[in-house]
Amino acid sequence: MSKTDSEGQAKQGFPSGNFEEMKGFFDACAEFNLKLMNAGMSLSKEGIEQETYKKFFAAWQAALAEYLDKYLRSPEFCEKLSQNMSASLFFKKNIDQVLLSSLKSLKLPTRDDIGELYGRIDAIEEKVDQVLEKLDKR
Amino acid sequence: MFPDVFSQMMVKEAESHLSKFKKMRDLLTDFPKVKVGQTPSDVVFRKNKMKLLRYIPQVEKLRKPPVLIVYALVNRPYILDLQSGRSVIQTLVSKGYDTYLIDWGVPSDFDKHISLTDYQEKYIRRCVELIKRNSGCDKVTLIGYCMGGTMSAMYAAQHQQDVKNLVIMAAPIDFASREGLLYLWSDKKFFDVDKFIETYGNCPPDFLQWSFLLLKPVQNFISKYTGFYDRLEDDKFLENFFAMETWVNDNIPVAGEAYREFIKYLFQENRLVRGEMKLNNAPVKLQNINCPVLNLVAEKDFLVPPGSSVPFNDLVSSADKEIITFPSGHIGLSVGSGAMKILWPKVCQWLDARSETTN
Repeated sequence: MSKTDSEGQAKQGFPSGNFEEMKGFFDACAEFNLKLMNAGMSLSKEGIEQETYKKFFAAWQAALAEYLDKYLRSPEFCEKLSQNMSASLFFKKNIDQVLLSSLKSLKLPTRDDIGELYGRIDAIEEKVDQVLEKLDKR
Repeated sequence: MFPDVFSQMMVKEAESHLSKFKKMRDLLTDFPKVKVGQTPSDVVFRKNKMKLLRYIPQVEKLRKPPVLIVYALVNRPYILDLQSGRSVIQTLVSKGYDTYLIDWGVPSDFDKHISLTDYQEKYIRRCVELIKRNSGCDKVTLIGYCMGGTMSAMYAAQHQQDVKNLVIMAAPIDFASREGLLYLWSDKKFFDVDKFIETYGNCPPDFLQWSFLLLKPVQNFISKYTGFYDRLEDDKFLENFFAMETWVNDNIPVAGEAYREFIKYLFQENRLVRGEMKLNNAPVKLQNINCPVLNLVAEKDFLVPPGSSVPFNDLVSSADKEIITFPSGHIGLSVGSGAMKILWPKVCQWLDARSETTN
């Protein structure tokens, strides 16, 4: 295998951007676990009571909420969100186009045709409203 | 002896949890229908899907000018009249305000072309005209909630002659900060709103629902249900919980063009604050607003962070302006028990001082 191939493979498996992303993820996980450990240590003196469990659960929720908020604000998440959105829009647009051409070939009215009719009715309604408004002002 | 007692306790505890889990499952999969929006009203005007509701007065002497509530284009307006005792509308009506509410209805795929100008000029303006005619007043008090607050502010900026008082609640005005997650996710870098609306036509309700839920995932996917589990036997809590769930799950699409303009011109380009917003081919200048202004800000609002609403008062020319910052979230402003006991009586006092009683 040539050097270029192995580099190419490495790039395919682990895109360089992902290391940074994973590092951020592990750092956040470590911080999250530390918070939980601290919460657990401070509660361990109380013994196993139902209240202790509730306090620990509340600490877990707070730590998780904080971690997720950081993650949801991260450029990595926003980029991923944007990429997923683009992919789903591309997919939907293609499906819609296939459906549209099928309906057209079957000589059936499409959504655009109905929309055009609806637009005309809407325009007529608007004109009636304008006339009524003028009459009201007289 | 001890192990027997212990195992019996364990079995009893497990049985109790199992029955609670069953009840929780049954309630959540087929939750009871709760009556919402119960304050009696008449539909006094319709246009396309929109209905203008007038609440039937409960007192003889009405206060003037009448109040028009402009709700957001997302979600349903009955959050302002959720349940008896948790209703902004009931509060206003019982205080003698001739109260009207715009219910935008559910836009269909064929309403995707409706723009912010259309909403302002063909809908809000006509509602205002009708209310003025019916009441004999030449002005109204506008109350706008959330996106409806932004729309009310824009209306007041272009139609000062129609607005006696302006109250905005948790209204996004300044979009410069990326403190709020919605503001960040809508950034031009991440969200191509033109492509989105070109593909979907209208903004789908599920998209909005998931965006809102994702703002606070732990609260919406974990804490809500653990809290529900803990209070399964509390009937009052259940009633409130299901009323809120009814509203939270009752999402509607937003007309595509209006959504595109709102995201592009406001969220992404912050045109309103920069004085570059145009509606009906005319600039929307917030400094044209000179009527009394009350700005209600929810301190813990993660949907519309306070930093987005507070600057409004510095942008208007009104001499009579006030901000009330209340320690609640976005929805708490309209349904929270604290808001009902403390905030709304204050709002009514503010309105009372700027209204008159008539026969």
